[in-house]
Amino acid sequence: MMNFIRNVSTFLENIIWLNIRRYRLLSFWRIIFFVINFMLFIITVMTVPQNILFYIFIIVTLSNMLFIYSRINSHTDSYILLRQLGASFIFIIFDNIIEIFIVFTFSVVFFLLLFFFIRINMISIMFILYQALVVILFIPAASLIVLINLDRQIRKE
Amino acid sequence: MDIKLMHISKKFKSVGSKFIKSLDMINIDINYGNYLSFVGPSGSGKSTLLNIITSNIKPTSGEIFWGKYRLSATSQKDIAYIRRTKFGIIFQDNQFMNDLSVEDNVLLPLVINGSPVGKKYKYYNSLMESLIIDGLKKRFPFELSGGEKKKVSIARSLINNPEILVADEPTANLDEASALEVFNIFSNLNKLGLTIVIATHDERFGRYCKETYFLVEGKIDSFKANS
Repeated sequence: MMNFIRNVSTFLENIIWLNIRRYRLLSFWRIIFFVINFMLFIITVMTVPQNILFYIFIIVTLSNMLFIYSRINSHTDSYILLRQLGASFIFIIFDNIIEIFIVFTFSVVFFLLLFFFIRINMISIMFILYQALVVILFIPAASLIVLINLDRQIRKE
Repeated sequence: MDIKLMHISKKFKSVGSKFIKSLDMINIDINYGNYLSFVGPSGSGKSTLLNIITSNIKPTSGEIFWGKYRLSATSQKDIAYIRRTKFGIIFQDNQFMNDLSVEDNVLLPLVINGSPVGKKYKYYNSLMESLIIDGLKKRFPFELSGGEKKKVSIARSLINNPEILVADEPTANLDEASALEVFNIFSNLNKLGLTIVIATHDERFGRYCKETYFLVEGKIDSFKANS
């Protein structure tokens, strides 16, 4: 039992290590890009009338899906390399989930800071929570489907 | 771990319902500690053969044995486990994760293998020093020359202490001096007991290997053993 816990802990530790290392390249510009996007997003939510928010929900969700799709596609080469080096399918899935989790944690921290300093309203909080749910639930599910298909294709060849 | 290939053939689907035969009835025994090369022109099936040896692709017919494991009767999970613990692989085009530094790329097999990365730093440092690439640790793959990339690729393949090193065209796009350096590294690794399997069009490797198989159109055309 202790051995199992140790293995799982090393497994997760290694995946987190890998993801943190990934963000080191161009980290300054990534953060700037993220901050600008997030600020634009919050300003929109705060200034647009509530009856239009529903349509913004749809647009943002669709753009999220597009982002997810392109992100997964751009990861195909990394995925093939990891598989060729012997990575298990579970490893690939956890790698994806943790990558998203890090982005999400970063978003939440940034959001809380903004909430504290500029006191955004309740609707904005709901909106961002909704987005968070989409990100948390949808991205691993989408990644899983795409990766299963990719895995099948590679094995067929 | 010994490897045995029995009656291996591989066909790839071409346009329409046509098939291209890449390998035809290959029988080879790769014994522990051997140093062998597959030499042949482009399209002779060398890379396909290496991919079959490492089980990156499945043969159309025939059997592969990794020690006691018959691969057709082994689960994908076990194959992945054996590959990441027993094999070190050097790809023809090196293949790195471009958003990871050289250090992270070399340590990647440890991460995949579930080994504690922190405990392996001492071995990692000695490996980088012995390959004389310890000055490249903080660089990114796109900042390296061809020879440097190849050495980093060798370091990555050795970080897990593999039993078998499989290299696809290890001297491709390298100048004479870098190619000679790669030959020497492989010879020294083989002296330390590592089994080495190489696919190359560079016949100079024949001088360094214990066995050389010449491939022509997916068949073993001839064989040469060096004493």
